[in-house]
Amino acid sequence: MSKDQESTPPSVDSVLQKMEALKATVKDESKTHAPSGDAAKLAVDFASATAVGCMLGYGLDWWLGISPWGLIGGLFVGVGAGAKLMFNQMKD
Amino acid sequence: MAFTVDPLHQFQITPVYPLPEIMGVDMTITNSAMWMLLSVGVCFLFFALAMRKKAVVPGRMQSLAEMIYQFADGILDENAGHNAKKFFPFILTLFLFILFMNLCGMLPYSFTPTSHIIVTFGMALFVFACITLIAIIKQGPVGFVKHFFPEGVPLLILPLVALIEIVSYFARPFSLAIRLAANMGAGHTLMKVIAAFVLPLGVFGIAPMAFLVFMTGFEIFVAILQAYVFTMLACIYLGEALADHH
Repeated sequence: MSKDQESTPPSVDSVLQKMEALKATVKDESKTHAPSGDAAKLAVDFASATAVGCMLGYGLDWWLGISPWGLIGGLFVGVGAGAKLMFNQMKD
Repeated sequence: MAFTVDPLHQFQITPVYPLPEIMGVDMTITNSAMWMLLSVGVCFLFFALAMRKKAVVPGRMQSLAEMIYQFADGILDENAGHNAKKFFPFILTLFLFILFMNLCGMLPYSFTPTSHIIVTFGMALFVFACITLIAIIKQGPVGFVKHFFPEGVPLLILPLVALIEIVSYFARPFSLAIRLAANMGAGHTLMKVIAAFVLPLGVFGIAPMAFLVFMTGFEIFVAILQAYVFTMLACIYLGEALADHH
């Protein structure tokens, strides 16, 4: 009899608490999965922002005839935009 | 060398069924267009066959079809919120189109339309234009332009910040297009390059052959992953467009 009393089943509340704790750990793991995928996304974002900035600058050159200043300015703006995209990603 | 290695030959566009010009546009069916049509056909056939019984307790095929459907629904729900539900047909179509093009491209002797940047850029530009239009309608022209002028920025550097915001906004279709096309193109090229090692190495060709088996599995994973990523990013942008406040 005493043996049975010692091994009483755990209360429902404690089991639920354990499950919640487990769920929390699983969620945390899923949030930080595949950092390489995020890194690849950063690279493409940065490259495309730079390309768009350069295209914009080149278009300005062609339109206003201020070559090469449009391209140079566009390059800097594009790199800035790429850095901003990377920064926003890091924040999330 | 007994044979020439040309890993990029697989990306060549060749006419398959010549059609006349309509309003100055060449309507010829190329191998790219053919595989697009084929993948749409395979997709249609798969869903028609899978959902033929419409059983309450789904079989294997129906389970797979329902899983794909629920997966796309999950992407939309997680990234765009509940009020994006009315765009689900579009998102599902986009996901299935890319998924089946990528997967059909894994068949031997096939062609992968998504490895061409013009195809992916066309899709990305369409998504981008639609979402921009939705944003302008939902938030009003003033509300939409306000996104490019963040609050709390000193007036002196506001033009520069606005310029950077605009450039990073217009980088979206490019990054969407480049990501999909580069991933598909690079994987297929790498597989062809490694395949070219198999025969000249003789007995030792077993090593690149084994790697190819591994690569094929990985490429199928990438095909599904990139369809997911494209759809997920479209959903994120859609969610931003639908958000009422900032």
